[in-house]
Amino acid sequence: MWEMTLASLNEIMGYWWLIPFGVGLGIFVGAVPGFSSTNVLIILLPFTLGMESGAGMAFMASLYSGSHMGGSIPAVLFNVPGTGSAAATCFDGYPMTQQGRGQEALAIAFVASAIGGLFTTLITLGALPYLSKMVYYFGSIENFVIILFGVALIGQITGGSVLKGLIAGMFGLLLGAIGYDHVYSVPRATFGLVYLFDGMPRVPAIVGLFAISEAFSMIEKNTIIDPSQLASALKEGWQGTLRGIAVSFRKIGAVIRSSLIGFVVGIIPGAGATIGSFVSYQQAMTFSKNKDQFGKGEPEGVIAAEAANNGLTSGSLIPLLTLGIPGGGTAAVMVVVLQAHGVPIGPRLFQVMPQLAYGVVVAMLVAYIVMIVIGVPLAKSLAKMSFFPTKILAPTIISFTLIGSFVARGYLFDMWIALFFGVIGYILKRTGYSPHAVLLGVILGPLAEQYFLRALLLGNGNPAILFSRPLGNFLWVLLAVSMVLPGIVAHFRKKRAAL
Amino acid sequence: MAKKGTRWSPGDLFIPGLGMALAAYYLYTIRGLAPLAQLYGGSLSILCILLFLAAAVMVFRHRDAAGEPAAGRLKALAGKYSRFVVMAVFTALFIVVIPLTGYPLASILFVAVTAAFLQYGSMPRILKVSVIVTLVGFVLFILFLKVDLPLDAVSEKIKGVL
Repeated sequence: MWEMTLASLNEIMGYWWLIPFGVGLGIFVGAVPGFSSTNVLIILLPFTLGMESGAGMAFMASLYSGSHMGGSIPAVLFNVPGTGSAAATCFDGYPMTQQGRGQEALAIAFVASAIGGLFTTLITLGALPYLSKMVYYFGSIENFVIILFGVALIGQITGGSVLKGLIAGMFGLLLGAIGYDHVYSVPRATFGLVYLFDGMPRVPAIVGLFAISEAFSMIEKNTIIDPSQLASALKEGWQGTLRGIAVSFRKIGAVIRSSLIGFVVGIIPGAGATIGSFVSYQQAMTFSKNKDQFGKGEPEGVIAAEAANNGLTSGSLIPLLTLGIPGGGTAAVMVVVLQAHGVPIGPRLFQVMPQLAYGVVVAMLVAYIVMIVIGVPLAKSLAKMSFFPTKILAPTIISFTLIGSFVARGYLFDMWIALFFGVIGYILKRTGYSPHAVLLGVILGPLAEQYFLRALLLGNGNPAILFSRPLGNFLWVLLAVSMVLPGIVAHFRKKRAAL
Repeated sequence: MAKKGTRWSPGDLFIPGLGMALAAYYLYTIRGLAPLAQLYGGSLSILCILLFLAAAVMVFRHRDAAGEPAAGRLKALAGKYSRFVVMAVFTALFIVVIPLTGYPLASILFVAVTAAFLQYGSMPRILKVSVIVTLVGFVLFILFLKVDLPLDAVSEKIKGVL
């Protein structure tokens, strides 16, 4: 295996310039709201098809890795997640910016992304053929339980009132249940609008709840940053970046844990980066000593989201390379390129062209090192964008993010959806409800329903099927433990403190 | 349920009220479907209605008895949120205008009008900024990322040439 890795590294050196180019482009497009690496890979398809298969795959892998890191930039600075997976980064990244710690938050996001990605890519490299078998063990039941980890977050991000948290979460879940049902394909609560038959579109919902509602809120202040912190933030040199790097290394355990969670979720086809970052955030919040600080600018929250969505990137390559199953949109574009070059996909890839399979992973490894070199020094300059006056920032954000909401499906109607969610998001904030809980419901609800109903169909409608598989039961136990354990630990801590 | 001391106001019923209206409509649209198709959304709808009732109870129990009269409260609210309402209306108009004039002109108008409303600065400065923002958007989304937004004849020609 190591000979193959060295051979791949040697081959990649032949087109080394593609990796920084891919990473840079990935960071750039990842930062554009509504744009994913998939969109850009489709645009650049003629370019990648014209390359050698190894070079094309290396370019795509670097762009894919860079896009997750890029998604964190607007999430931290403006509460605008560049990609869906960066939605969880907003929870703590944006409050840090409001406290004048934007530079530190960006540095944390970049370092956690790169280290998380680097760590899981190394695991992928070492265990590629063995990990592929994991895919076979994950069915509808296991996927349903994994999504429940994310849904459990609704109960934790309550914003002061459990009832309000539940109301927001249920409202989101109900919005997510609009559209065709997954069994009989009957449209439900679509108001007769064909645009809603496929369900509530995710990108406009994210854009509205975070970006547009934040633009409406920010006009009440002159700058995003709290006025009391503005002077010190303006004077800051490289201290924020250094602090961010130091925090990331101090919390290296959290980086590793979160990237592993993302990695495992990434191996499951169809789960997606958004679920990975939410599950990781939920776990970090559940077991953190600073649980109360989550959502208020806790660095560990940024680490959890960012390390997970980059850990997921390498995980998602496993079903693609070993079984030929694309785990998501970007992987599907990679399949198109491989097929166009006549490369066999799936188990035969390792027999016929092992250097290509390992080459993709090695390219990703190099990409993460390049990401540190490119990204971290940018934190200081990028943080300056948060000093812009909101009077011009707000219309700019609205104008750009509305385009972002249009991109995914090409319907102008989606801009109305984004505005609807923007207004709802503003009202949610003003009345003390959590927009994050609504978003969780909108994103995870349809997936939870889909896997739940599939599992029930497998069991002929008998809910006992949900507890019929060993891995599923193990995950149920983990879910129960992660929900009950923090309460028990807190109880004993309180008791000890009282003594 | 709610933390001790959490103050609930009638405005807090807006979201649960919206949720309940959606839940009622949802239940209406799934009537007559097979039980499996009703199971998930139906249960959620019923939960939403129950949560609205719980919120209504909270508002009744924790209401601010010494508060202002309703008319005064409404006036205060209108003053407080007037900027938000105007921005939301401008955004809606922006979406309406895009297919009529094309993205570039609509964007210049939207950014200029909102920046003027928010008193960003002198008119030439506002116009300069709105043209720059639109140019960045045009180059990024239309020329580079090939987004198929509605365009006017001139922009369409530029796009074709580049």
